Amino acid sequence: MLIGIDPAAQVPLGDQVAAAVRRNIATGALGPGDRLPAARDLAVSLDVNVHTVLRGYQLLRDEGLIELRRGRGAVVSAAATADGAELAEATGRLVAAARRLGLAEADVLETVRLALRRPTTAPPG
Amino acid sequence: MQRTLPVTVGAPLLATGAVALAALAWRDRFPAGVASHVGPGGLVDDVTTTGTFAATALTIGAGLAVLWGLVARSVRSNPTGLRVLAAASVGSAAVLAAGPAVLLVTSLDRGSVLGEPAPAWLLPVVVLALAAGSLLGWALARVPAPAETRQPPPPDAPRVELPAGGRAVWTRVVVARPVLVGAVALAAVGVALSATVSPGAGVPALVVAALLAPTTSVRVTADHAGVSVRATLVPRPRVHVPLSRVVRAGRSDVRARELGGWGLRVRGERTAVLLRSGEALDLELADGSRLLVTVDDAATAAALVNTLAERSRVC
Repeated sequence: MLIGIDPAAQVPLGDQVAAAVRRNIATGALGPGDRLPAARDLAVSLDVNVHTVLRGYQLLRDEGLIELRRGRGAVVSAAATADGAELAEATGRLVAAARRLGLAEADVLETVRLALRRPTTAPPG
Repeated sequence: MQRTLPVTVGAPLLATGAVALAALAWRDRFPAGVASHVGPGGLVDDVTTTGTFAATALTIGAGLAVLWGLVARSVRSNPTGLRVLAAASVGSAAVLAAGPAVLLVTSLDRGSVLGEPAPAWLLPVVVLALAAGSLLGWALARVPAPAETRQPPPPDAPRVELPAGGRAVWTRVVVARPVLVGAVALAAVGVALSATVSPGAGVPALVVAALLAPTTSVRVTADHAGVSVRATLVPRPRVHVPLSRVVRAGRSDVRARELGGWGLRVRGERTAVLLRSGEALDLELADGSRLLVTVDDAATAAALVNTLAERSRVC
């Protein structure tokens, strides 16, 4: 699996780590049962703080893509699918945009609801 | 390298020479001869004279010295290979010193040796000697600072897209399935023997299974520090190549048969970590040697290594 981050980008580094792992799941480079590198090792490789990597891993756990077990490290969960990773990644981008624009939670949810009800016009990018 | 060859060739001579010397120095203190073989039941089942014991030790030592010298000749262009060779030579020399030393001590001033039990610590001492000797050989075989290159990888070598200032790592685990199956099967046999025959009966199988376990899977990582290969279960030993030594990274297919089997193989200028046949990350190094690591998705790894190597040389 390839994990790239860009410290110059606006997105927090932990989110970038999570996004990179999601991409690997979406492309099939990572599958259920695969073990992610230890957060400490990944932090050294990417020259970031270990808490940054752990924050990324926690995001992925909250999305149900990986399981974090004490002593066993991070393992891609059986339920993790390419579709799930793609949706989680798109959601991540939406949330990042909403934060940048300073939108309230209710407004974001309303926008999503409206978009969902709208008839499909173009295939998603 | 100047020190590696004397260490590799000298270790078996030194070890067996010391054993022969000890046997001859104590020649009057072995009234029942010297134990020369221990049977599977832990009982001494063969005895020899002091002179034969010393002569056999010296013959084995001389034979090994010649053998190691010939192997060293064939891998002389490969610093890693010479170092692995030195570790193997000193490790086996330590076993050749420790095993016979225990036998000598056992036979010292004993009226009868044949059929007597060998000390229970014979096996632990030999295993410990192998480990300590290998480490010592590895440490003694200080190779000269490996050659580095300042040239960026050739333009036709694959690259990945990475924004300026971006950081990236590629990592993947390789599993040697036959070894994994073997280790699990051995552990099962060990447990079954312990449960049915006697508690101690399964110990050898369990020990071998435990020793095999770390060799069943390795993690390959490519990042700004270079390429490293280590067992997933233990952090050391590891094979590490800094980016500054990499002329070019690529992907190639290797057959384990070509390189003489699985494991850490050294063949001519090639060093290989083979857990299976097939796709491998192929690093051309500045000293003319090559490091091959069998791993899936090696093309991505190679592209990242080229990208990071180029970047490290531009700035």
